[in-house]
Amino acid sequence: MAEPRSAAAFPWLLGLVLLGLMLSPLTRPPSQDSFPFSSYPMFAHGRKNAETAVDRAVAHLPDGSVAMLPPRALGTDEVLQAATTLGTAVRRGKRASARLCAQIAARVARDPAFAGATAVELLSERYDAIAYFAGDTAPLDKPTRRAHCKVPPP
Amino acid sequence: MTEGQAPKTMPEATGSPGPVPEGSFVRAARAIDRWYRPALPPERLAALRILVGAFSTVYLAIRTPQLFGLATLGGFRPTGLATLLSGPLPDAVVVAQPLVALALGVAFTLGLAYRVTGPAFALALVWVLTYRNSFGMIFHTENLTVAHVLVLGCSRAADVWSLDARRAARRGRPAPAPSPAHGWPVRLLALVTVAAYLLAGLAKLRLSGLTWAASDLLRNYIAYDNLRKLLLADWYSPLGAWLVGHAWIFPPLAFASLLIELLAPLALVGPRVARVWSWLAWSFHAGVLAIMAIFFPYPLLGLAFAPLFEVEKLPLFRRLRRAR
Repeated sequence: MAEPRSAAAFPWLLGLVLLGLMLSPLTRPPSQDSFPFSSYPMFAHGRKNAETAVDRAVAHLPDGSVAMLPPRALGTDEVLQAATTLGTAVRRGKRASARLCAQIAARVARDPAFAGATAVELLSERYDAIAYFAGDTAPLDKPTRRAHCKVPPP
Repeated sequence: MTEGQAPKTMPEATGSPGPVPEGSFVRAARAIDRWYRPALPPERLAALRILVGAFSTVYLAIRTPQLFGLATLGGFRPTGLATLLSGPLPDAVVVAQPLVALALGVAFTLGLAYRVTGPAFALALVWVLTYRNSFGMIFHTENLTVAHVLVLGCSRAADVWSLDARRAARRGRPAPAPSPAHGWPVRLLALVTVAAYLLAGLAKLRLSGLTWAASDLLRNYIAYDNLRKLLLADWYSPLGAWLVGHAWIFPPLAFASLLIELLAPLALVGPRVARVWSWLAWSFHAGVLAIMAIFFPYPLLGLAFAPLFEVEKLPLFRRLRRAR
């Protein structure tokens, strides 16, 4: 039995459009990413050394120790989202960093894992990641404090 | 028409003197069309709908608290369709959209009112995940799932093994036979999988050239990624942290990874090659999980590669096969 032309046209049309969209990142600069049609630039850039710049949040505890704050303190369960949120605030400057610091402090105040925490700090640090895992855990230079804020009472 | 049969140009039916000789272009076009639109059993497409639909719905359900949290996250940097927005959505919409997508996902998976819920879920998933990816971080674990749901949503994936099919059977409609309408979506799903891996390989070549595989680049990335996670108090891979002390391991690992991505199109050649490539690609993701603590659930559960196989024969679908 002859097949109507439209029966063949739709699959081809959809296929060509979808594959065209998927391959369209090849016509853009390779580092320009999008969703859902990605150029998949993750881990593709030339990384000549293991120097690692990290923006992070820490909490000061009553015993004087410092605790690293996990992604949930930044309102996400995704570590990369947390890193992006910190990086964006730091790039935007003092006011944005202070605002984020206050938001984190408010979450820390409600988090029993950090009970009694007195202050939150946003820090920028640089490490040599390979040296770090070989035992040399000191940052490459003095950490830069981006924001400091008190933890409100729970 | 069954797989392998070409639609005939029938001169005898029109009374013309004989068959018109086909040019090589036409023959090639017909061969490509036969490959792209094979007559496959509707159960295979339905099985893919159930697997991909269930995964996407559960994924959304697990992510729902985080999707709600986008209302307070800040740092809105729209991508894809979200660039149409002038700013973040109101809180109520941020909360409502994953719930709507979840409801559509359940209907999609069960094959309920599929002509509407199929495309609707595909669009909802694209939108919800595009919005989630609009806060400065693109999650490359989600692209392939979304593309697969788009294909399935535009196909007749609920002709069998669905609530729609059950209702149609009660009304006396006969079970559908294998047809190209059930074949092309399966082929397109496979093409989409292959394209995604190929693109990832090409991105490495475009951004770093062969240096990507021949230098310390992968080692540096693994060290950097694990340290970043450790300092942000998240899961990292102690194995990866230990391995970065052994530089010689990384060029062969990088070369193998690049090869797996660039050779992805070979998976379309036939089932044997597809099996070998799928195992290699799966192992690649298992390796990424082991040494970078990055979990790609879609390929690790085998779903990325499912369109390359006769998934309807999985033991998982035994009850549905018997009920036919």
